[in-house]
Amino acid sequence: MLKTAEDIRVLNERITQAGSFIDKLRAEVAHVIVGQSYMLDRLLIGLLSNGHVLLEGVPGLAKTLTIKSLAQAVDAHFSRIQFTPDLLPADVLGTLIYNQQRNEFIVRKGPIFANFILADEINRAPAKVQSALLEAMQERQVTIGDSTYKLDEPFLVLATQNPLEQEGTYPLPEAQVDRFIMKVIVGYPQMHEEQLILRQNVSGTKPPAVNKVVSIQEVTAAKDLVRQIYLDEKIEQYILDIVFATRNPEKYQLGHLSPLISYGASPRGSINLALAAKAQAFLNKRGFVIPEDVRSIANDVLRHRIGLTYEAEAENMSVENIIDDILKQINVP
Amino acid sequence: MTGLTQHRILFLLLFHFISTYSFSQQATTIKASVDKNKIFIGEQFSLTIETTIPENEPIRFMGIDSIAHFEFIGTSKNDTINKGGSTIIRRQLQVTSFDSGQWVIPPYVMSDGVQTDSITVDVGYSEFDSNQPYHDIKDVEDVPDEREQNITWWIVAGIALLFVIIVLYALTRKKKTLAPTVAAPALSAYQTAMQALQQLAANKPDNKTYHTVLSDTLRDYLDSRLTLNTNQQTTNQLLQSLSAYLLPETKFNNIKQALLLGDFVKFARFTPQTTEDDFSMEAITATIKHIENFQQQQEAAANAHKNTKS
Repeated sequence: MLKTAEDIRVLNERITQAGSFIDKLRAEVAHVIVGQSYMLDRLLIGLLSNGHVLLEGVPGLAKTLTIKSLAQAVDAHFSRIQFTPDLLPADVLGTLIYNQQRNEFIVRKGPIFANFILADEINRAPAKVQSALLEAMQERQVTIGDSTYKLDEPFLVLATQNPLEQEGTYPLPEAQVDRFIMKVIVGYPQMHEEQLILRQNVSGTKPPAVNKVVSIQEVTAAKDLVRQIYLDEKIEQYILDIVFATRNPEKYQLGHLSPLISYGASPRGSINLALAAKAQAFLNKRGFVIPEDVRSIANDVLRHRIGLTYEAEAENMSVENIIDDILKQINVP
Repeated sequence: MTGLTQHRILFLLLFHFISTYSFSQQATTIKASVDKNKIFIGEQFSLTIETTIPENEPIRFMGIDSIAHFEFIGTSKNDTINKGGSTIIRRQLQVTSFDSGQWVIPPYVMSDGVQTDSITVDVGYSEFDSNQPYHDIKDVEDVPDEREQNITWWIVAGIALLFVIIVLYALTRKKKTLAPTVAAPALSAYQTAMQALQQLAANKPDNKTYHTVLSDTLRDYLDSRLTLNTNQQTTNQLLQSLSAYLLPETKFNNIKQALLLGDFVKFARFTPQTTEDDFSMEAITATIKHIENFQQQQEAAANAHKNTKS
């Protein structure tokens, strides 16, 4: 626990040194991905704060490619699971296979045994598969037969879902969505970015390979530093005010939001907001959290934790509108 | 007077004596009578029961609990009359019937041989005229409660009386000489900010409070003077808001440095030097003064423009 300003100053220096890999990582991924720096930063926040990230965006926004490139740049084991309606939990977790030669059952580990898991179109698999994955995400271990296996560190699940096609999908229950530290909405690239994408893809040249620029040890060390980042009491109070305003808006002079919110963020929302704010401070090479860190990630951390009423939907009020209203009302420390 | 006339007078006296004696010796009688023998369904009529009890006979009367096909609406008290040594007891009953038909009020026996006559009563419908237009049964109408109306009037009267008393009191009371109250002049946003900064410089609280108050004073001034809602803005957003007020570069850099220093003190337990505290104080004061001047110039220009137009 940081006690003095000197501790924070030393931590700042360590973060500046340890955080240098972030720049290398960004630069390496930028060789393959044009734009999408926002998404990449959110993935890094998930990686550093030990949380899993849910990405939502229309097809063709380089969600998969970004995650794959990140895994390659980190020198980590990457696996991709395409979720389909006929997928079984054993396809994800692994199963016991009978070995005739040795006359015994042997364990065949599933694709979840990797550092970076891309759960593509997670809402296309039935509830039992989603549940198996989300349980593994939470417990960070998998039981096959009689044996329990710890999952490798770092373990980051990046799930995607497509907001357009809802037919034949199995929407994630609120309780399970809550386990993702962030839900990131992936937007379209800027025009000048898309021009570059267009040129890269029609020129016929082979896309550059992503080099491994960061080791797992560096990522693990960075995660330890993120945990040590100083979170002042004033910032804690600011986080609590934001989360409590989602539950009791009328106590924060936001009575007009009460009929629009069916349920507010859970305590996991407060925890994840604090963890993500620390990771955001790390990305900015700072050993302490400031209100800007909290504000910049509030939408991504809270949007899947607030339930809207039918009234809100009828008035075309989005969760983002509600969070923005809350941020505009809560005093910054 | 002839002998024949004397005989006649004697006969009459004897007859009178005998008839009076014989009347006083009559037995108790009871009779029932009605005021109507033909009623509409639900129409009320009176059933009177009257007993005549001669002198020396025991006083008695009979009560009627019910009569088949008839309903009792009300019963009067027994009316007792003494007449010529006899006692007459009379009771009147208000009766109706809801069964159509011809019904008989049966004879009621008080004692052996003393009983009422039976009475026939026809209960029927009103005549129906098919030529008349049809009127549906009316809804039940509320009868206005007179007490409520009375209470309203009493309240109105009470208020009027109270008003009169107050007016009279106001007209007749001695006028007290009140000391003139001097309203404290409202401080402008600028004056409030300057006062807060002076108090802060004089009190010099701990570092965290010092820089929190410094930042809050600037934000409160901006909110009050320019309605910018800076209390809900982060440092970067606040600096962005300030950039619209044409702060000279040096002043802008100073305020930026002061606010960032404040963040360090507030959120990173940084302990500033006294010179840094003074620097932040000067930067905040200079910014507030600059914005105040800027605003006054803007307002003066706007007024001048308005005067020129008019």
